[in-house]
Amino acid sequence: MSISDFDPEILQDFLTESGELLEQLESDLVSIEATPDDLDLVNQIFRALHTIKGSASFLALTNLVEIAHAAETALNAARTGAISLGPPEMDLLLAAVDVLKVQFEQLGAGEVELEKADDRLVADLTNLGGQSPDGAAPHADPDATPGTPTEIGSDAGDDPEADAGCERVIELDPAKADLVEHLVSDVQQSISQMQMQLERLNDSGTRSATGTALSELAEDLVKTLDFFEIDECVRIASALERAFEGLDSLSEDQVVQVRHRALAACSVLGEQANELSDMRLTVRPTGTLIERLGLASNGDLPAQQFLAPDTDPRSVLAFDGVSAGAQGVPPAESPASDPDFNPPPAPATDSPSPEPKPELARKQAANAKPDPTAKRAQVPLEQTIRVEVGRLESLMNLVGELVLQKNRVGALADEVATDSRNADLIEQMEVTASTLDRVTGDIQVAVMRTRMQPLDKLFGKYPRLIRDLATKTGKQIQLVIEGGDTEVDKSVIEELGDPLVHLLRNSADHGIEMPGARADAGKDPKGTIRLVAGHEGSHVCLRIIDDGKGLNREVIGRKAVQNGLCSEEQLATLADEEVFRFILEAGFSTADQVSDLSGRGVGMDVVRTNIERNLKGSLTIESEPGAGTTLTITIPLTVAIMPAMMVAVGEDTFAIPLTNITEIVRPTPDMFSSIGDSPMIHLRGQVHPLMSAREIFDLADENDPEPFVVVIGFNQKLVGLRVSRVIGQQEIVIKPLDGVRREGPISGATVRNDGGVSLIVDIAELVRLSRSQHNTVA
Amino acid sequence: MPREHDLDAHLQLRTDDDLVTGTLFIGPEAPSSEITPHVLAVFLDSKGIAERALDRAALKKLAADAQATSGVEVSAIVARGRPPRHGQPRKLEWTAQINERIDEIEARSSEDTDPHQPSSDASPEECADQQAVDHYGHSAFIIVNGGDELGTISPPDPGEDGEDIFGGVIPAKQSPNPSYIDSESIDLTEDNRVNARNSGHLVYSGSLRSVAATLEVPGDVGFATGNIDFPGPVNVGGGVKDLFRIDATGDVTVRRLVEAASISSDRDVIVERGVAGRDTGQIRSGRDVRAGYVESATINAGRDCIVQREITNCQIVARGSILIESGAVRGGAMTAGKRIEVGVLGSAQEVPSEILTGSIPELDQPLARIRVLRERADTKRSDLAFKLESLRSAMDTSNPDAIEKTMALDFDISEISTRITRLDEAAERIRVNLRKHADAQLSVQKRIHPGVRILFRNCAVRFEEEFDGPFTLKLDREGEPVIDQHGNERPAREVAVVEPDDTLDYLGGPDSTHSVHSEQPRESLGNGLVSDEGQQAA
Amino acid sequence: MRIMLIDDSKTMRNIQKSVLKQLGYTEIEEACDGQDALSKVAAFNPDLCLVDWNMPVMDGLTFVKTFRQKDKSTPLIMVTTEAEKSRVIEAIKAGVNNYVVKPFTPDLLSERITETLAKVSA
Repeated sequence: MSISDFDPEILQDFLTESGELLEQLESDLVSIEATPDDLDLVNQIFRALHTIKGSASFLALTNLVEIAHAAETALNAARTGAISLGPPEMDLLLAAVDVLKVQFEQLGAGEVELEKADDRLVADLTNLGGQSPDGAAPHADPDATPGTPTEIGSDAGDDPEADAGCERVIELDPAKADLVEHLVSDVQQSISQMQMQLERLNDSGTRSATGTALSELAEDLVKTLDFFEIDECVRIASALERAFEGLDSLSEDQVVQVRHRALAACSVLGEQANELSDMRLTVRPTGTLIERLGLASNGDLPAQQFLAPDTDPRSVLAFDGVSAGAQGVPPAESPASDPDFNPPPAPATDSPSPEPKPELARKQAANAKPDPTAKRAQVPLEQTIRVEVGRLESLMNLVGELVLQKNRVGALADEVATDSRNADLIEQMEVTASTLDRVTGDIQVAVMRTRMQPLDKLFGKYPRLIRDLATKTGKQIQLVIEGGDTEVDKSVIEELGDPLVHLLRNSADHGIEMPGARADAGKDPKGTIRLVAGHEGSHVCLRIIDDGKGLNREVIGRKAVQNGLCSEEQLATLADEEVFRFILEAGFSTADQVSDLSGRGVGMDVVRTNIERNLKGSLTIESEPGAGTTLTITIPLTVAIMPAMMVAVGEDTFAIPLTNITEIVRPTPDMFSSIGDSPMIHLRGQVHPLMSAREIFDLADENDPEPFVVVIGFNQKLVGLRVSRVIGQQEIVIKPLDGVRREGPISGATVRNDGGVSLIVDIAELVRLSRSQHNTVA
Repeated sequence: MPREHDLDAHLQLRTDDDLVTGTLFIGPEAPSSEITPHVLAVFLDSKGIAERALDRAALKKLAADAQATSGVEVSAIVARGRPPRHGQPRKLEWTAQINERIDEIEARSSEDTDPHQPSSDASPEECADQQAVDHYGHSAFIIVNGGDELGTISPPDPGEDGEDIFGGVIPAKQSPNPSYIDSESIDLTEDNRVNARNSGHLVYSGSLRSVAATLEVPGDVGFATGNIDFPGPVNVGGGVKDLFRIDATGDVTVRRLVEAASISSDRDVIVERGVAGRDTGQIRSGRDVRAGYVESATINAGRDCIVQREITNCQIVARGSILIESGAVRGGAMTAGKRIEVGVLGSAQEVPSEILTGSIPELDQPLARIRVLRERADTKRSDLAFKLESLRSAMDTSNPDAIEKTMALDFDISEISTRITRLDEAAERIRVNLRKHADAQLSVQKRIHPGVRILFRNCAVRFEEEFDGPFTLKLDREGEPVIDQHGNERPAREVAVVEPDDTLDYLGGPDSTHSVHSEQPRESLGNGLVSDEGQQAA
Repeated sequence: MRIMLIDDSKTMRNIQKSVLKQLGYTEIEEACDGQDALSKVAAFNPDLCLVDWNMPVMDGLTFVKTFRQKDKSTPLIMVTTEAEKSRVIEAIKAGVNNYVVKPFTPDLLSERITETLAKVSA
């Protein structure tokens, strides 16, 4: 079967869902390295892998299933406590993830033949699964030895197993719930009859009749359980039904094996029936039991899995991996203190039960209550639907139009207020306008929210990035992520990816010192990079904080002078912060050697441009030599609609993003001064560059005075912009100026309340302009 | 030769006026021996008779005659010209059917149509006789529909010139068209067929052939015209006689008196003089009815009924208003969907008169029926519910019969509930229509007399003493009747007796006093459901 | 969709018929007991049967058992009373797909029918 045989939609779904799981998996793997004891996390990783494997086997992606299965085997060992996940194990697992990633890329590209994982890797991973700290196989599962292919895909798609051990609440419609009592007694009755019949199986003379009776009992069980839609039990009952069909052709020994497993299955069903009377059901990992029951009834059961004739069902359950969950204790009691709880002896080996097991079991049990998956069974999942991004885009555009029209209605309301003498009408108009304003605002927020995604989507990739960096450079680095649940617009996520990667690489590569150097400086040899995200007003702030060596003013300054970015004299007058900003200029690199990590790809100037131009954000640098560097990215929540102050010079109006305006003043003559030829404005004892909108935008209206100064703040720098009139505040919808050559610091255009078009002032560019003006003059 | 000259003296040629024949006279004295055909021919030639006009055989015979006789004058036509064939106009030939009708009508008009009383003329036995003539049913008009074939037309003949005996031309005469065909109403097809362009009555005599869209009856509608069933407007120059009927889709205008006759129109009915219905006269209009006065007649107006002078003992139903501006209403009953305006209401003799305003019978009747059905259904439902309740309270849940009974009852109750809901919906739809189309209000200009009962939707008002207008009686927001005099409102009960009345709720029932209204409405404002329900109940 | 109503009570069949008509099913055959139904199934070939439990001649459970010997798939809905409820499991084993307890409302019956058909066609 080839990919072309699949519905492309199914394949796409697989790629999307499993792709997300894979990303999650990778970041979880990195986290588990730090906290190898976090069983929840191990389980989570295991489930993710299991799901990927299940879907892949459904799609017959054999090579993908192989490596996923190998990794799953290894993880299963970690899950059961057989191995602990140290760096070597992590390397293997991450290598497996890498293979999966490559395979996913191939799938995405429509390739049919997926890359096969290195046999060694598969073998190593499988070995991990077979290993145990003390050399004993804790589950006496000889089947899981390396190279045994029988288990591959055996439980693929058997999803309930992934949730093994958790308890679900049975939901039945009232009519059926009414009958549960009858169901339970019927099931119990059937089981006891079945058990009786099973005992008689030893008598070869009556075996045929016994087999028929058993088949009938099992068939009725299946019908009944199916009616109640209790799939877990149906699976077991069906397995019994199948098993009883072929009893005649089996040898004595084989019948004994069938009987063992059948009795075990009966006991599971019996327990489940008991639970059902309380309308609950513990999910048990019955896959192996069912499989072996099937094998036994076909006479195909491997000899290793044979059980001694006198094995009791409990031992069988333990042997087949059911019992950990099968001992499910009522939630009301404290599981850890359950005196009845005793791990069953491993029948295939005489060694005492391994030490980690009870501990693990306790842990699992202890975790059972706060386990999020258990909670999931009761708390309804958040309902989601997949929506094409294009639809959201067009919705966003429509909201943009709506905002424009809302503004227009507002303007009309003002006109009515001045023109009309009908006070009633004015009031109604104003109320309507303000309601419209509010509703539009709500819609805008709601629509924006549909496009919001958590930054975790982005952050998930970084632990691996840092880990690789650390491995390659020989540094010890831990990445701490905070605020990954901060939601930002989808477009922000897209635009932010590359800059963040670059900045993180930069911090790891240039910021964090080698362990030796750190130890010498009296710091923890392990460096920390913190990636912190959070909302600040209508902005999202991302900080990359390292505790590395910090930026060196001298080195940067020297390089800046060399590159002609400033003169020695100017350098002396610049604040540290201003000097640090030079690293954001094109072609600026202080590393003596460009490392193959941070040096490749984009430069810091591209990062800056990305943030400032595409995200309308800003990037600031703070650094303290020896203590570390903090890079702060501040971006508006959305880039499509923003509040702005409308100002005018002559007949031209301009929109200035409100978030960048610190104040608007009408200066007295004594507030003006100049440094050299550069006009300056005094504000509360400080001097800031002053620019004239008329000059910057090259406007003709010589006669229109510019009595107002809009004070604009950007990157902790203030600049005054002289304008003729201040019109007022307004929500503007940004229309990109595609294909239009930008004259001056303009970032886009917007449609005004009155239908005219205004240009939007590009703050970053304006501030840069003021500085260069200032610099060249000075 | 002198002899020859002598002979000429005995010969004489005479012609007719048209010069088409020439007769030769041979005098008695003529020397018969000299008379030969040749001699005669020479004579005629000398007179200018054309050679080809000569009848040689006649000449020969004449000569022989003259020779054989003497002493007598002989003569014969000896020259013949060719008379002209005069031109013929196109000729309209009616279809056999129309010709038959024309003959019939002409035969009837030639009889003595003295208006003998039909009762004496047609005893039942005679009516059954095929020889009997139904003078009411036989219309004096030929009514055709647009597109009907009327006949064929023969093309005009230009004629042929003739020739006189002297060889001169006698021109053919072009005769003028005897009739003009109105191309507006009659279509002449290329294959000479004649079709009616519009519906109307065929004008087949006089100089104009047309299909008149308006039927003009110059005199009375009576024995001379028969009943009139016309797909358009009808103008009657005279009146409408007893027991005759006009049924028209257009306006009907009658200049003189309408007697105990029946007039029905989809549009307006205008009776300039008045209606003296003698208790059987009926007028139905799709739109307004206008009359000088109305007496003892039944009027059903789709819109307003406007009467100038008075209404006496009439049953009037108007979906719109009834306006008798300054005139008087005495006796009878009036029902109007909207306001009623009257000068004087009732009479000093306190004749009973009933005024129902704000009601549209086509809506109120079904509404009343629904009300009855609804009450029955309600009763049935509570009966069933009671049965169910008592059954349930005593029920043995293990008894299948009991369970079945309860389920059947439950089922019946839900069916009835569904029906009640449908009835309520139908009633509400009608009420909405009533609100939209009805408006209860009575304005009296001069005076109202005792004996008049004014019915509103839920009450009746009657005056025990004369009360002078102008005033308006209407319902206030609470549905209470109030009297408005010059803009001052006060409760009607201050001057009149106000009694509860549910006539409207049970309109159209079998024992309704308003049986006159129960005529089947032509167009129901209600909805089909209502009549379905009615049938179910029946 | 052909539906057979098997019930000895004409009233019950009428109620069921009215529910079915509201659901848009018009091809309906009626039988007054299990025996009658068995004689009609071959000709009518129903897509769904509503079977009363208590009937003279042949009761519902016997009918289901007999019917299921030949036809494993056609959905059967058992109409029971409270009294038979404890035996519903027996009916399920005999092969009914769903059941409804008398007295039921038309809504409940319609819900059961829709639910059963949906489950069978799934």
